[in-house]
Amino acid sequence: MLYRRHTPRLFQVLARILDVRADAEDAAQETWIRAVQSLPGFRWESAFQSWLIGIGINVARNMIRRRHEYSQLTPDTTPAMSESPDGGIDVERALGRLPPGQRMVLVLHDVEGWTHEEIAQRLGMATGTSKSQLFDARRALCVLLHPISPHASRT
Amino acid sequence: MSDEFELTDADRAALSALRRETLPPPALEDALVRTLSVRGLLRPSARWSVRLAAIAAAALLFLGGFAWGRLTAPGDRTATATRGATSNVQTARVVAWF
Repeated sequence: MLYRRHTPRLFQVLARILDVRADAEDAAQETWIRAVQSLPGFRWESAFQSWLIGIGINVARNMIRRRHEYSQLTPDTTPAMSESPDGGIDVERALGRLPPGQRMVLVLHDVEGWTHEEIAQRLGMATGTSKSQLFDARRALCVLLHPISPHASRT
Repeated sequence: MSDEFELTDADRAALSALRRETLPPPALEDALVRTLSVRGLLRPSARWSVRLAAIAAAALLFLGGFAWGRLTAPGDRTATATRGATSNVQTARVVAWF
């Protein structure tokens, strides 16, 4: 019951942050295992979904960290993205091309609607770091979406 | 550097329009249940035994209530009393006949 109700949202967030479906599946499974282990301590007056996604974010962060360590040992084999005639790409693909840290903050803030304070608390960073990550992420996204637009080159 | 780099309205709209939910593959649920069972975090479902116990308890309650009602109903008491009186009259008649 809980699984079927909350997993589609969790899975979408993880898929967007991790950008690899198989990793999102692993992360979703790991998230639920941790959630079940922590369930006795969960206070039901807070939103279960936010709590669950919070666990998922931590799992995703760990996976990204491990992936980064692994990528330093192996050559990058990521295929080149196809682009539209004006050089831009769609939002979902553009998100996938952002650095993981920036992508995570942008997804949580601009897609999921979290505040900087919530992001900072969940990711264990300063609020200012969340803001600067979002600034960089938005600028990078804009460049990817509109490579020849003057708006994209704004600093 | 300003505090926030503002996206265009179109880009903001595109971000807002992104899909919020995706169904995970069905195999994921099975895999999760297996993993939770292996780790001892999931007990086998007691759904059927609980249902049977609930049905049995409801039936017992119903029968108990029915029996109690039969024993204590005022109509029944009159009937029992009438039956008793009739029986006494019959006994008296038998005694008188002898």
